[in-house]
Amino acid sequence: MSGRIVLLIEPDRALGGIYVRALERAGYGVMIASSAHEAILAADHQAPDIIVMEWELPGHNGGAFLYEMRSHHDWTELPIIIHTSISPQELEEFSEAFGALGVREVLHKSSHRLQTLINRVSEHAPIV
Amino acid sequence: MQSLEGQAEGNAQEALLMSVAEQLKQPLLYIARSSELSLMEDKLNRDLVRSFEAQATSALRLLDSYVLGMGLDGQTQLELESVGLGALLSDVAHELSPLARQYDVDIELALDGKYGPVMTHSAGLRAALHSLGSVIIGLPTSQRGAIVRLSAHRSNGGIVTGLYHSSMERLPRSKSLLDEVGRFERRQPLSEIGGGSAAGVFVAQRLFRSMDTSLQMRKHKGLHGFAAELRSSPQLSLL
Repeated sequence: MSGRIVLLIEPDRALGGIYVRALERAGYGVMIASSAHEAILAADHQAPDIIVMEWELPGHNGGAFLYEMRSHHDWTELPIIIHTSISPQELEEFSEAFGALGVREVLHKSSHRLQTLINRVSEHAPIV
Repeated sequence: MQSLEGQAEGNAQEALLMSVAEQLKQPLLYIARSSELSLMEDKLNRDLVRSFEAQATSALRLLDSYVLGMGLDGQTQLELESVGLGALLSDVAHELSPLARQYDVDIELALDGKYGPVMTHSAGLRAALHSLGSVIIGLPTSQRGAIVRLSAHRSNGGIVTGLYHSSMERLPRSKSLLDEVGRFERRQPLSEIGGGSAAGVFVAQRLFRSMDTSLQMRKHKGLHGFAAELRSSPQLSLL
């Protein structure tokens, strides 16, 4: 895998396949994980340039994963995009946590198209 | 004044509807984003159309099951009849296969031993298994060649039938987990096993309860899953 790497954390395998294809088509290398545990292993294996993640992960919400990520000095500045099925109203309660954890963007899967996701990823992790 | 019981039932129905809506987002998102991708790539092929069909069919079956379950208002029982379980499970396995392909999962049909008909409601059981399947098949897994087993086997009380996943682990709270079906204390009552709402499990539970049985966490030949015990039909004694 060469170039910019996206770590995509998406529990739904079928949906994840679509996002992988779209990001690869845009020129990114993509590592996909279905849970926080898998994501940590993947990031340990190869350092990502950006993380795109569902907030609602098996076992817990994405907060626990982000705290874990941010506790490693290598990953304190890593751009994070939350890409979630959860409605904006329900996400409001996490807005402070997003700020504290350095989340750059929150995108909603229902209302944001693939092209928007690609544009945001390109903004935070441009391919040079 | 509405009784506490009536209020609780109303709250449970509302929560279940929310949960079903959450689960239905996944197939609709898949269809919407796949369509967008195919337009980007300027290609539309048969595999893509098949995947749309599988996702849409799964969503429609969940809706049908929900409507059937809600029509029972939590009190009414479905009329039990003598049903050949093997043939019904074989049909369900066949019907779940297109969705399983979407998730790179193999459906394994395991009918252990010989048994006659069981007392259940044919349409109700089929709907419950489809609802359960829509959750079990989509469970997050990194395992290549994961297996979903649709099975039936004898038990002391009758015949146990259900669905099991090769990546599913035993839940520490499993015994009480399904009791939450009527309460929906959490947004994701089954968050331990999946990222989605897992509404299909609760729709299935409602249907099984209306068939005089209930869904439980069980283990079958090394795999964990959800299953219910059905009574053997009295016709068995004639065999």
